[in-house]
Amino acid sequence: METQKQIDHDLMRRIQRDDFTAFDKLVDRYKDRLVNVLFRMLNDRNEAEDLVQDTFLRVYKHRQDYDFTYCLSTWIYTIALNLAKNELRRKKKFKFFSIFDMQENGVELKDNKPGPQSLKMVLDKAIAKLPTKYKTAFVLRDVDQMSYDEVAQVLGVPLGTVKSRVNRARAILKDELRPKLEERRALSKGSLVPVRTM
Amino acid sequence: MRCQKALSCLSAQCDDTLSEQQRRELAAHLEECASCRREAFYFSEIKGQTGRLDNVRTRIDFNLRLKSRINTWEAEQARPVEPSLWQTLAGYPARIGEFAHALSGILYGPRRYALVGVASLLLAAAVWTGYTTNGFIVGGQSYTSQVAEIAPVDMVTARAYLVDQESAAEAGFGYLASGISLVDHASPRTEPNYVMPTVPAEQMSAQVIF
Ligand SMILES: [Zn+2]
Repeated sequence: METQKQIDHDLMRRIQRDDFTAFDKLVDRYKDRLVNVLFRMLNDRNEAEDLVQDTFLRVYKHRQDYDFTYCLSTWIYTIALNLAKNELRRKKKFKFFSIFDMQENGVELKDNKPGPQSLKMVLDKAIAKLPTKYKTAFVLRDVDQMSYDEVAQVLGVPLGTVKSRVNRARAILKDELRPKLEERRALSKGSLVPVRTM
Repeated sequence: MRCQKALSCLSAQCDDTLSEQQRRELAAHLEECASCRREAFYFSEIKGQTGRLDNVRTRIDFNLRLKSRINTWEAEQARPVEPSLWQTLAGYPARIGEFAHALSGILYGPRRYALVGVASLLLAAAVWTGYTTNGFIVGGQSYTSQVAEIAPVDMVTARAYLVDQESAAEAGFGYLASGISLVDHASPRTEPNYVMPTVPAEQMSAQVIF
């Protein structure tokens, strides 16, 4: 953990001296994690990528303002999530007008595939439907695999609040997926005869 | 351990953050309670499946596109800040009287002050609305506010002058004939900042005749 922070800080010192190679390295360290998190938040791959671009552009523009007492990753994630929250607020405002857009954007989740939906597909959709504050905590903790402490720093809320939000999200997902999970449980217990795979 | 307490521990169990004693108590409860055992299975499945979801990755040209955006931004930073004509006129409303006075003083004298004031206000309004084809006619000659080129030097000291053919030629700027130029008053007629060439009367959307 400390070493990751150290690597980031070394890169940032170089970035502050206008070393673009260092900036590229920093981008490579975080871009895929960030786009995955923002995709889960926004449900739109293009939008997620645009906002990750905006995030790094801001990091670069404000590189001289960076405070080395904080984790660089916390700073980057905070910027990215603020951008995502603004986007979600904006979408909510115009929800009435953009039903068709949203349907189109939802294509990313492949929920229009015919046939029975896999547990993964149902989970994808259920995560997308979570209320924003639970979803944010859940995505950072369970999708991005951040520690609770890191999530608390990024969201700027107490550790206990993060834990209860993650619990709440897991509980909502559990209820949402109950039929699928039950199928799976029965299967794992052997009460249903599983189709033999090669 | 009771069911309610056991259920509240399930999420923490997923994170492996239970104390040794809590872990033992929960295990003992799950051993004998099928309902909680089922919930525990659900929680661990959610956790496991979430970890196996398909991850989205950035596109291959992500860094390249970012670099190009940064280059654009840096180029913008390097360019000196130039106030637009709109900003300058909007920022100096008090100068309109002075502007009018300069116009009237040069061409018509104080009696025309008010009328030329209206003309200059119209000019300002025309420029304000975005360099469209607004224009006006002064003394039977037509002028326009359509700006062909903007190359500000120092708008803080800029003033407006009406330039007739003779005085323009005299000053060595033949191309200013029958135009209106905003020039740097520190060196009038030698360094025109703004050149507004005339346009045919039919293209004008506003006219003042006096
Ligand atoms: Zn129980």
